[in-house]
Amino acid sequence: MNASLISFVLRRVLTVLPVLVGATVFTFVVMRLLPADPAAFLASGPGMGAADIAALRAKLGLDRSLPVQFGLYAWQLLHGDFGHSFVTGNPVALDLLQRLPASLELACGGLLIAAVIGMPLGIAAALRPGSLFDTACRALAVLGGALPGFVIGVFLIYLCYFKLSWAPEPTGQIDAALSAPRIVTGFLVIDSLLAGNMTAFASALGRMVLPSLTMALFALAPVMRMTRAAMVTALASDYIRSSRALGLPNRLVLRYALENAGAPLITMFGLIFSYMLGANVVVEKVFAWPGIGAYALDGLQAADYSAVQGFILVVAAVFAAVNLLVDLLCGWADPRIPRAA
Amino acid sequence: MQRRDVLLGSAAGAASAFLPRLQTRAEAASLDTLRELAEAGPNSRDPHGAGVASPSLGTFTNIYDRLINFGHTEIAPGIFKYDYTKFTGELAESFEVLDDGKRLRFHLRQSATFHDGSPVTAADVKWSFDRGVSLPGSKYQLATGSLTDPAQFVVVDPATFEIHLPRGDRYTLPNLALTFASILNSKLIQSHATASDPWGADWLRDNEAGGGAYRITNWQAGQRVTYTRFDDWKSGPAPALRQISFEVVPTAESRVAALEKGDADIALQLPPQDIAHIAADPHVHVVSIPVTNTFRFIAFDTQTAPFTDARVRQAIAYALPFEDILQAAVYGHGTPLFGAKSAQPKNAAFPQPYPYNTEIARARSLLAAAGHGRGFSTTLSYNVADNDTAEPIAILVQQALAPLNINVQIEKISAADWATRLTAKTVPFFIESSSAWFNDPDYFFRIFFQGNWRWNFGSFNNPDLAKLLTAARWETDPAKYDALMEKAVGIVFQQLPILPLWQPTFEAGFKPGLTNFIYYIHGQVDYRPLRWA
Amino acid sequence: MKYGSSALLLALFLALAIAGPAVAPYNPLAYALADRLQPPSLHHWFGTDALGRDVFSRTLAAARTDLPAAAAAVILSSLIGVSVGAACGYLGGAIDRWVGRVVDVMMAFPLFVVAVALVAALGNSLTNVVLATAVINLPFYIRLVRAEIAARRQLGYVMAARLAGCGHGYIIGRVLIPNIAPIIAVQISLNLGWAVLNTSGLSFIGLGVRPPTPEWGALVSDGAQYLLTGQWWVALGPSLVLVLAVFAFTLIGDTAHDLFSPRSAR
Repeated sequence: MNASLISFVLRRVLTVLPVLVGATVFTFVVMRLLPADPAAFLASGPGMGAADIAALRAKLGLDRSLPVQFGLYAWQLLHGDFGHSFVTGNPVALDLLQRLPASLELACGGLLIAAVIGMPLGIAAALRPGSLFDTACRALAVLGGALPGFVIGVFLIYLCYFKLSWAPEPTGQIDAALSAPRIVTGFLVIDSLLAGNMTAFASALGRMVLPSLTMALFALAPVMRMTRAAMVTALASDYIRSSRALGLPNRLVLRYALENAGAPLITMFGLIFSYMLGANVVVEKVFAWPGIGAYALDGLQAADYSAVQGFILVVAAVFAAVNLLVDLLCGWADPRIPRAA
Repeated sequence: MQRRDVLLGSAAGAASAFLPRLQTRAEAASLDTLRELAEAGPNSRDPHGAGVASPSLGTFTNIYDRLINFGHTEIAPGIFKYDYTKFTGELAESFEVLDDGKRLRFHLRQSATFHDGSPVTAADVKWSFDRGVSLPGSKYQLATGSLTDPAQFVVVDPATFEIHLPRGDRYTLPNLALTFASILNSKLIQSHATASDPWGADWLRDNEAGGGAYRITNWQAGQRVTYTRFDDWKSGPAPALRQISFEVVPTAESRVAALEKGDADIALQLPPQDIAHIAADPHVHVVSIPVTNTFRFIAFDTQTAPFTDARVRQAIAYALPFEDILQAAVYGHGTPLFGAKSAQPKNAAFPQPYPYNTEIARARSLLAAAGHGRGFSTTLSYNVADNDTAEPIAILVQQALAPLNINVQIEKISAADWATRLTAKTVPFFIESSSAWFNDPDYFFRIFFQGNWRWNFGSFNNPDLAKLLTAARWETDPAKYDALMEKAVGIVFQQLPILPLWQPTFEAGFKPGLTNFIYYIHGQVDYRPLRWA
Repeated sequence: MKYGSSALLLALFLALAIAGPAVAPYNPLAYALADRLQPPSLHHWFGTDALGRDVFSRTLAAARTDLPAAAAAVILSSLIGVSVGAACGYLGGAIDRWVGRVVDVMMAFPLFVVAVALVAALGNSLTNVVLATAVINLPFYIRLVRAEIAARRQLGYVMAARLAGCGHGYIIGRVLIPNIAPIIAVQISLNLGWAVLNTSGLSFIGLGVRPPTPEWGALVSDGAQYLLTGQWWVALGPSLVLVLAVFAFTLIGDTAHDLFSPRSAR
């Protein structure tokens, strides 16, 4: 690694800080705008009355002024303490750490499927813009993205699990009867392979299929559309035109064009990945997927502020990390892009 | 090239894992394991904790012992229901009621140990009760059985424990059989207590410290809990199931699908619209048990106009299509609490059917008499989490009241906000369901018809009723007690602070062959007696 | 062909929204328990739901809820987004940097969860669903318009307008925004589809319109729970219409894009 790369990364990391601070403030404020009182929610035990609610408020620190509460929250955050979740009874940091890999795995799976199907279609469409094939591809992709994820998910469960028995049970990441592999990456599919446990691998991979497919349908339209756009631009560039004029074989022209379209494609995948991470909330719910999205939703329904705040912060951090990665990859894919912040 | 190989490789892997049918739970089932699916999971291991979710009550039942347990009676082959009037020893080998019920003596099983191997002593029992009456999550419930002060709990010798009461109380023994009276490993918890947390509440929430029939061997909050049999358990016959996997599957459709495919052994919280269809499936055994301590109702805030006038509340009751509502909301799966023939209570039981039927003419005249002949506008609220049942009710109520010119707006309130709104009494007209731990009418009334708290859903305040309840609390003559409570029931029939609709049915789907299920008040599964036939 | 079909679809949906209640065969709100969960037939084209309501009539009536709601959300976010984005792109400087930061923060949020939190904070009503949808779409407009305006502000015709003595407001409103209108139009039509999907996602977790108002997302999510028991029609009819609506909006976006940008329409 050379010095300019390191300083580039450092500078980029510094630009992430305002995003994280902004996210912290915003989520804190929005959560405090919620009319729900966590103490009243918690005081659901038999006979708990106003005095107990007041005591709970004091215990949770909700009786202090907002700036003081925010100060305490920020101070705890700096020490890696995200607070405690009422719903799970665990520290939020622990919950998020355990659940984040599941969400990332699902988003990766969805993106992979979308890329495998969407990119070739997008490239093919770009080669013949305006053709019937082009129109059909676009229409198909739009149709896939036009249905809410939960409908697709429930429909896939009905068809592939209930009726046809193709897919395993839609309840979580791995068959509960199997012992999960030792956590290395947190991605069960990879961890089970690393552990050489093929039964666990088959189970984990099988359970990935339906939820990933649901996510992929959603991502298919943007992947195809942007691949097509990037390729159309690349194919129209002077350098491809000259290659063509020089009579280079089509295969080679296509390869040059793809290399040329690399940076926009990487940027697109980064964007879609971050978006999927926030958007897979409902899909996680349908497939009982132990991810952070379902966790945040449960938290919102239970006035579990720390859980929701933690979730939003983590997604913002992942978003920033993905952006950084995208910048680095773009620099690698397209040396013309200067490394300036 | 390498990148492409990876892509192709994993795509092929996905296809091969997808196409051949994977071995399912149905094929791998063995006779000493169980897989249970539920809508939500436990969130605490502290039986005295605040904000404990109801699945936790199942956890407490299985990982802790009580001194005594409820008896049970068989209601269908292999299906039992707890009997609230009978008690059997659990951690206590035997017990005696002395001095007219002022002294309860318990003889502990001498060989019993906690999961860490240390013996269970009377000192642990006392400490557990001291803790129970000190923490807000349990102290109010225990107080309903006159258990309030640590001085009441006496260690006679390491194997003998006594509870002293100011007077004999019929609610003491039932309270001792609830999870609030679980016996905890005092030394273990005390070793984790701090100055600011003398009862170790923060620690116990995330850890177990008991000697029950099962130990928790895996706890993934909100996802799954694995229970493994504690082989040294002495407080009852050795459980048949060695390992139980409790899994959280939030969508009802997925639970039903897994049940019908034979992948789950027990599925809880079945949606009413699916029951008929599941019951017809030979691979599933549906257990339906009428729940006697829970009721579904519509509440009026009796302190907010126009519901301050009993005639308005009665008019609404006379306008509702009760039978349709029961069918629409739960497909008839409930015991009606409407349509009694006589305005006089049939007996002292509660809840019992109220004397209201659909009589529009009567509704009109009552409304006119109350000065609302031209109708009014109001908002009918319910909890979003309760949507499946409450939405049909709300829609039918809205349409039934329209002819009376009562213009009803339906308002769904988020689950997080619901408790806040009910506590602050800012919902004048709403749909809710609630339960009491015991079935005695005076117990029910004290929770639901008096007091300045959330559970008094109608904000009802009636001095006559208060007198009757005070008298009934300590009445030991059954005839006199019934007379008092019949009067009390008559008052709420007529005053109608809440309008009961029905009592729900506990419904669970079992894989055929699973037997010895005991239903308890909390509707969670007691794994200890369960076995495969 | 594309222009024709998208125009046709648009006309169809507008007609639905205007004439829906008049042509609906049944009262979309009237329940009839005797007819609950009936499969599609000549009387009930889309079948009936769990309360015996006619799904076809409800789907028609829902156009009156969904189309105005989506339109309102999109108009709101595009109006604010375009003004803020244009001001930032044109003026640059400190304001631009600060707004840019805020937009960066917003883009980093899991937007669906933010929408859920906003609806929970503001109260559960259609108006607030519209507001939440508008808020989560805002950063896209600001970012888009800001970039497009910044790229154009030094161009010859802008310079010419400035030299001719036109004020900043005139240049932004009359010169620059009309110039990027096609780009905004594409974003708007895409957003209309998203807005409908967002509303339906909120309905799935119980937020959104007050019952018994019919709304596509609520119809679909109500219907989804009957799929497993074989009553596929409760979800099917509304799903098809929802897909068609989102499809139509996207197609209109594409058409607008082609119409306005001569280069790609070659």
